[in-house]
Amino acid sequence: MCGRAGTTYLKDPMRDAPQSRAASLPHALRLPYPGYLAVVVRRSAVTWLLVRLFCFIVLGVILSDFSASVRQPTWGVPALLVWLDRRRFHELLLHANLGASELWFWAASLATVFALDTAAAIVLRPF
Amino acid sequence: MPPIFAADSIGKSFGDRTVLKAASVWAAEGRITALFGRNGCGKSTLLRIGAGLMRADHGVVLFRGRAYLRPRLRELAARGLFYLPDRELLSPRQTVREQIRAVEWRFGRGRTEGILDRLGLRQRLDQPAVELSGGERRRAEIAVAWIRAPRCLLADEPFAGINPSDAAVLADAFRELAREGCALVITGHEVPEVMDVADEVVWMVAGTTHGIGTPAEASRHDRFRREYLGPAAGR
Repeated sequence: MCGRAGTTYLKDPMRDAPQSRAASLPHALRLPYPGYLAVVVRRSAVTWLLVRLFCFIVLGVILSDFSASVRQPTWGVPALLVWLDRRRFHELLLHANLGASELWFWAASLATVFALDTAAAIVLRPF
Repeated sequence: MPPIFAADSIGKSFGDRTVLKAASVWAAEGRITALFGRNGCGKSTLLRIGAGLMRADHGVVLFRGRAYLRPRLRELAARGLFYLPDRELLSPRQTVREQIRAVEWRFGRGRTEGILDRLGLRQRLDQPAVELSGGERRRAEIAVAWIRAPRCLLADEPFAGINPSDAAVLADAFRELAREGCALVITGHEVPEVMDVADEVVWMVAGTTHGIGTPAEASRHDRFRREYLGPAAGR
């Protein structure tokens, strides 16, 4: 191996791949760190709530419009969340540096929004 | 000595403005390449292309014997590349410990304790990144990179905006990474700090790059002295 004169390199098994078999599955799936995925889900839920409250207050209370566009799932909120996640690119960079696919973050955001939208639709159906 | 990383003959334009014509940068195992150039000359663009974060108009990225025409960071990272951007790498609201755990989750925790001691981060582990000073944040980012044990580290202006004692800690960390066999590319305008750790100097000017030898050879390079280092270099 080449390098600086007189240098001895450490043989480090961590360099190329995870060491344990348990760790190789997330590696193969390019999964991000679950702790950060939870942060993305939490932020998506908070953003969803803020957007929904905004819709409810602006469209519902101020414009007196309680039509389906306020109560039913739309693509607007997921699109906004994906855009917001994209704005946090510098955070995703750490996880890209660890070999994780950023698609997991978009998927987590969208799944959170769809779950909340669906739940809200079911709860609000009687009204 | 064959490089394990090279961004070769890279060209990049933004609209009518050509930033890179045929720029190259490379790094060999156990060696530190310093990339110098004036503000806005395209150093960061070249590193970002090399890390797979930006697409080049032409050129190729070579990493560990494989050629990539359209590299992506996660692919290169899975094979051992780590890109340290000039702006923040860490999530501001998460603690340093949590972000180190993300690396350990993927790559194991054999090295962590020693690295935290060397970088003086033990007292800062439970603070969110946003509460750290610029130098502490930089040390935490280097810790994350070091724990990952990369084959190649691309560090964009790592010495920018930090005090001399933090710069010395960072320089030691870069030397240690090189001793472990990591290939490093470092950019920056902090000439004494960068020259001190570098084994080789690459100078970027007018959209292309020139390998101008060791730091000692670079400091004797007439045009580099005249056009980049300026009159103060001769004093």
